[in-house]
Amino acid sequence: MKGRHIGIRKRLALKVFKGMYDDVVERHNLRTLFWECTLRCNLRCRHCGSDCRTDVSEKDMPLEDFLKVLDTEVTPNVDPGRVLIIFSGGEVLVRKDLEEAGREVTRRGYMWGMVTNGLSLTRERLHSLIDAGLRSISVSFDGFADVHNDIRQNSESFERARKAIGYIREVEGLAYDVITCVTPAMIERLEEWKEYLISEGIRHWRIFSIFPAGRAKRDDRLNLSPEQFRYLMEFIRNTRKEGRINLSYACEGFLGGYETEVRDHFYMCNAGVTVASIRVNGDISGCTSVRGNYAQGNIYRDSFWDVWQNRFKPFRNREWTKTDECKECKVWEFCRGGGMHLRDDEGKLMYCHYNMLK
Amino acid sequence: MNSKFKIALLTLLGFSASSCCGTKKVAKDEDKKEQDIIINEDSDPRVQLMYGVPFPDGSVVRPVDENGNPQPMSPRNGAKSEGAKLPDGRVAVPVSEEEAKERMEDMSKEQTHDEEPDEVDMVLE
Repeated sequence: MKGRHIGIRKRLALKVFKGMYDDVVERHNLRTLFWECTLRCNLRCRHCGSDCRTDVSEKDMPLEDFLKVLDTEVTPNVDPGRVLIIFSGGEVLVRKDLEEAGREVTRRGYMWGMVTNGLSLTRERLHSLIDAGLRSISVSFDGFADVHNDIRQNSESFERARKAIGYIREVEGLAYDVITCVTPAMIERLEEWKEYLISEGIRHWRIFSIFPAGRAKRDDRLNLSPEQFRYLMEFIRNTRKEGRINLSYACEGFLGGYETEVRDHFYMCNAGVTVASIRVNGDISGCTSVRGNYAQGNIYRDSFWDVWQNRFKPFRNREWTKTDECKECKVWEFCRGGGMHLRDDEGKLMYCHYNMLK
Repeated sequence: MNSKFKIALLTLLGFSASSCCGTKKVAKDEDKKEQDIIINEDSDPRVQLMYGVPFPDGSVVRPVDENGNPQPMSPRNGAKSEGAKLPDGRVAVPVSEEEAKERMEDMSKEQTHDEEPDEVDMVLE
């Protein structure tokens, strides 16, 4: 197993890449904009990473409020063709005006995509969304029916997600992937699960593991041990070598010797660098998975573009993360304190992927 | 060190350009061998985000049937349009290019040459 050891060649490459990442931070071109359009959801998943301090009775953001920001703040300052808008939730399909939102975003020249649990995605709804310009979609699919339904706490969720993925595969040109959040219950069945996905015709697969936030924080059954995490890295690396299905580990966490071997790119946290989000309450932040108190402004009182250009310092200069275990860490220069979503409300690191590889 | 030089350096070290910037592996037309092509001139990386979606590849999205034949964009697109009601009560219905041409020819027989419209893509019924 590779573990944390970084060979000379990769270490040199990481040093070169470090300079490239600094350039990206300096430019901070907006490339992805999340719109957290609702916090409502039709499931109550055990591993939900939503910020539990957020009142789920929070009303959906009116579409016109989001479009106003696009029209007055974003579009005048970007090339819409280069910005991907991602509708995020909650479960976005609970919004009845999703098609209207998609049409309006498409009309302005943006591409858009969405993540769904697939529970209510019928063929008709999918085609209606495609008519509204949907270009990319990801569906959560956490394992065989017993595991998936247990995590999702819904006996129909596996079958509905399976059907939804089938409808998506019928569509030519629609970018998609299937996301598996690997838990201890699935770790020994990963080979079997891979064969199942391939037999279902699925070609794009993304894996991530639990990080201790939201409801997942209180459920020890969901967290991988360091041995299981290393096994997962080996599994992803070997599957990528096989080349039968396009598998990647999610963007989070620096992975030492596994860098560029379990995903297509070197580790980088782009939250607040090329990625912004507009939360359901109007807060402006990096990725939607970043804790609520890292908001840099609010669309109802600040100019989005001014916030994007002139704030976001904690996201773009991460020297402040050099505390506790990161203070003396030899790979901080490559990792910069891990993903912003792995920091708790006080800025402390909740989970270190590199340490999991010990 | 500019970004092109850094990419070249990484390539020399054995890492593909896609590991560090906005590139995409595409197949050559002739021998289908993969190669890296930089598609993002300012080299901003496209990272698959935690709760994000894959970046669309620019191709047209359309359904295909079980044999792989392209289908209309949606069942609604395949259905005949009911048209749009106009304030005077008439209905404007979209027609195909061929239908429009036929109708224009019919209209031109009835109209004088100086009143002939330049273009017709909607007709009133």
